Amino acid sequence: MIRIRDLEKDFPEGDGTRVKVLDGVSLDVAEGEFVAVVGASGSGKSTLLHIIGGLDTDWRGEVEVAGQRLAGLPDAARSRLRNEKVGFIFQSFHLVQGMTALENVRLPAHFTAGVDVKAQEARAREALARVGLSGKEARSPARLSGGERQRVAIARALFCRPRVLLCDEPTGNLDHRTGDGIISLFRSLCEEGLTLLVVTHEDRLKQAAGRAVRLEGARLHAEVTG
Amino acid sequence: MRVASLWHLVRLSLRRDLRGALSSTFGVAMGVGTLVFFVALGSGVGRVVREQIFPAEARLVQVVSPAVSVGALFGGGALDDRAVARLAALDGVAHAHRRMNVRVPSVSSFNGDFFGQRLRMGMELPAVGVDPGLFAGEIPPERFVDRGEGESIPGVISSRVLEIYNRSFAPARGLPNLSPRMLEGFTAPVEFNRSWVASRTTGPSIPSRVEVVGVSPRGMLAGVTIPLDVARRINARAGADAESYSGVTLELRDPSDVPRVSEAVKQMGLEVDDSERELAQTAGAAVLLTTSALAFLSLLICVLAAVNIAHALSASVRARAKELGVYRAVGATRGAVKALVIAEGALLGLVGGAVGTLGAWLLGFAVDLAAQRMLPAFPFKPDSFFLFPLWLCAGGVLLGVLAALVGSFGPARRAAATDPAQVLAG
Repeated sequence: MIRIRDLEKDFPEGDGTRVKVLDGVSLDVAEGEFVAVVGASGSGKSTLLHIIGGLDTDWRGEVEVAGQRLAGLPDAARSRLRNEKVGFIFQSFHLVQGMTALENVRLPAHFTAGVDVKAQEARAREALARVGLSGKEARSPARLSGGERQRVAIARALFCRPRVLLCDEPTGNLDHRTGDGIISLFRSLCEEGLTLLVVTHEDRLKQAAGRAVRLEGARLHAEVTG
Repeated sequence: MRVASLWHLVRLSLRRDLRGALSSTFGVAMGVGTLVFFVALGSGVGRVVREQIFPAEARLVQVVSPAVSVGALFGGGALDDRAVARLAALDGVAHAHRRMNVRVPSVSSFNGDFFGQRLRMGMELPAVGVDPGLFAGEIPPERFVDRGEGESIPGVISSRVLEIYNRSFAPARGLPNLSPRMLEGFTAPVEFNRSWVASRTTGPSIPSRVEVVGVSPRGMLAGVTIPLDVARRINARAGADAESYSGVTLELRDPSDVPRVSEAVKQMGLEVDDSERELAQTAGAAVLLTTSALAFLSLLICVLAAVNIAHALSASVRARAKELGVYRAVGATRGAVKALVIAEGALLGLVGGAVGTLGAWLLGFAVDLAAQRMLPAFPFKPDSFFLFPLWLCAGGVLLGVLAALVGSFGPARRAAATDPAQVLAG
């Protein structure tokens, strides 16, 4: 589902030099696999996720997601990939203020051509039900708890029935109990065939994943998981 | 991106920053409103100047004998029947209407019942004779003919004179307002070859009566217009020139022929009397100049409105960087993000333009109402000082949209260039 070969990425430093955050990174993630990427802060975990999701385009190497090679892919095609096959979940949820939970979930539909409005709404309700938020469709993000907001964000990521879910510290802003609930949700999504790549520095999430890799010194290393 | 989705997201964004949206809309409305108001005022006043004060008809060319003509010594420059025939034969001329001044002074004195009021007055009353065809379509030709010696003379009054009488003369003297129909049949005594101003006249005076048969914008402004044959008869009887004409009014088939025909007239040694047309043009140019200056100021306000929108949208784009990043993360293309910001600007401009145009119309209506109630009647006072043609209203709204589009283009580009990876990190 995800295939990465010799991925390189560097950032400019203030003194004019460039610092490498990814140096010859290669990774394969099979369909339905749950992989955790761990590493210290600033090690390039989020950057790796953004590259896989087509949000970052300034890199060298080969990246293939859901059968789509990302190198040189035009903006429209990358956007369609994110809209149809890749879902994003962020540590800060990034829900849109002023929209209800339901509107946040169906946000991707605004960027999809020719979608039936009634079908969209039904699908958004279904996604909210899937994450246990039935009855809270009309709530604004401000009136939801942290765990509920993250569930809305997950429902939004699931709305377009993606094949890959990219999660950036999804439990980082949640208390232990709420985080456990999210982790068990990820497990069940994975059992349904969804591919998950989760960036985290939390052990419990690493333990929940089927496989973990560590990003250190700009390179990936295999990790032993429980 | 579908229009319904664009509309939904634009509404959401503007609703969240309602104060900023209202401020931007107000700026556009002010600029567009002042522009539409002044252009409508200029158009309205210009219409009064063109159609009522100086109603120079575009198809008419007034031909007169030159004041000084070397050619006259050799028979050129005179307006006789031969010259009239040549003028009528010019390409583009539909009719040549002869004019002959009554070449002796004339006075009119009235002492009697004037539409229910006792009136006693006297005045010098210049007269000019014209071909009946000049009033074709306005006055039946059989009513505007020489009825013969001893009979009343049919006369046509200028509609501008009637306007001045109704708005200025009558109210000041407690006389009734008159309509053209009321005037028809009104008869007043007139004496030709007599003057209260000239020191001396030759020969006996010729008493007669003038009966008003109509009111026309083509009537003589300072006097009465009578049939050509009557003028010729009076001139002959008073021993004045009854052969040559004072002028000829050429009625052209098409207004675009005026320059060519005017040039041909001059080549015949005759002159074209453009004084009325020039007055209209001068007055029109003064109105246009004033309107243009005010419109320019209004355009500056529109430019400021565009700058205001640019600032407001720039601030909005900066504040919503994360949100725009989320849009990109869930599948929005750069073009969709750009379209979103441009649509926000366009909506602000559309509402501002519509509100400004409506405001200008309402203000114009209020000014007209106040003018009707507070300003005294004066000649050529219009029912409305404003003219709001459809193109002006549509143009006002479009200008609002255009100003907003110009203002939103920069912020839209910046929004599209938002790096989602950067704004969504952390």
